[in-house]
Amino acid sequence: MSKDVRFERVIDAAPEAVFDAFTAADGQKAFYSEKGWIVESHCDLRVGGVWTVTFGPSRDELFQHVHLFRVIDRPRRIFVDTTESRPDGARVEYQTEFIFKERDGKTLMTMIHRGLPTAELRDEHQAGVPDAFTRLEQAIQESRR
Amino acid sequence: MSSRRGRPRCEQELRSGPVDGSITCRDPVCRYTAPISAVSDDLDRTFFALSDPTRRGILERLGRGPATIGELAAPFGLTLNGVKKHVGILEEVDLVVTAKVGRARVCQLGLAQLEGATEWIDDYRRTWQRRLDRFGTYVERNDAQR
Repeated sequence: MSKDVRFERVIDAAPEAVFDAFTAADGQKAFYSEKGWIVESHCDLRVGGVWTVTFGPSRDELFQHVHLFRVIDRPRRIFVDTTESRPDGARVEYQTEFIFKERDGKTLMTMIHRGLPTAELRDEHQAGVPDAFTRLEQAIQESRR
Repeated sequence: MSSRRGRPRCEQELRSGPVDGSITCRDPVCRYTAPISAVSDDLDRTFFALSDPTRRGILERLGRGPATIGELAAPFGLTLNGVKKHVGILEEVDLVVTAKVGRARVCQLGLAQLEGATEWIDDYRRTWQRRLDRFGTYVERNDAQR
């Protein structure tokens, strides 16, 4: 079982095109837009810069992701620290890595989340215990055997 | 079997919201929606309960069948009080239920909360995969137009 939460999608375009779309305002909005949702994206694309996305079904119910750029390696990789704020005031912090890899003339885009969904586990993570999801899924599988 | 606390009977039918983790009853008559903070608290406690290797070991043992506190203590080299403490934390979030049988307390798995946490993770996965798919479609459409 993987240590990280991983998402993949093969996109029929070159890595440069995918990378550039992902770092442009319209591509970022496409990433976050549910039908009828408000999406506002502001991106300062440089290491140490911040990409802020505010999104949600209405002004009264907005989520916000603040991504702090740690690595920008066009067209291969982006690594960010993400802080997610929810309408109820809860905050979650995790790291997100985006990898753009050429595959048969297309791009395998991989998104990896490294982080923890609760304050308790985030604190534990900082003390060196990895990946709540892996542990939770492992516990679920073990308890169902 | 003991239970964590009194809850509406229909709460067993609650399901997580797709984005914010709030939960709503599937029963159209009830229409109960739990506050997001309440859901988060439950999940926080569930994740916390699962964060300890001894407690995961207890769950693994109970996955093979019910056991008394004494039977759980031996393989972990714990005192009865130590096991009771761990079982208490698991019981708080309904991962374990216990019942007094004669002089012993018998423990067994209680899956309600675990299923809630699993559903939350499934929703989380679906939300992010949908974002990636939507972005992929956007790039492919724009790239084809060039």
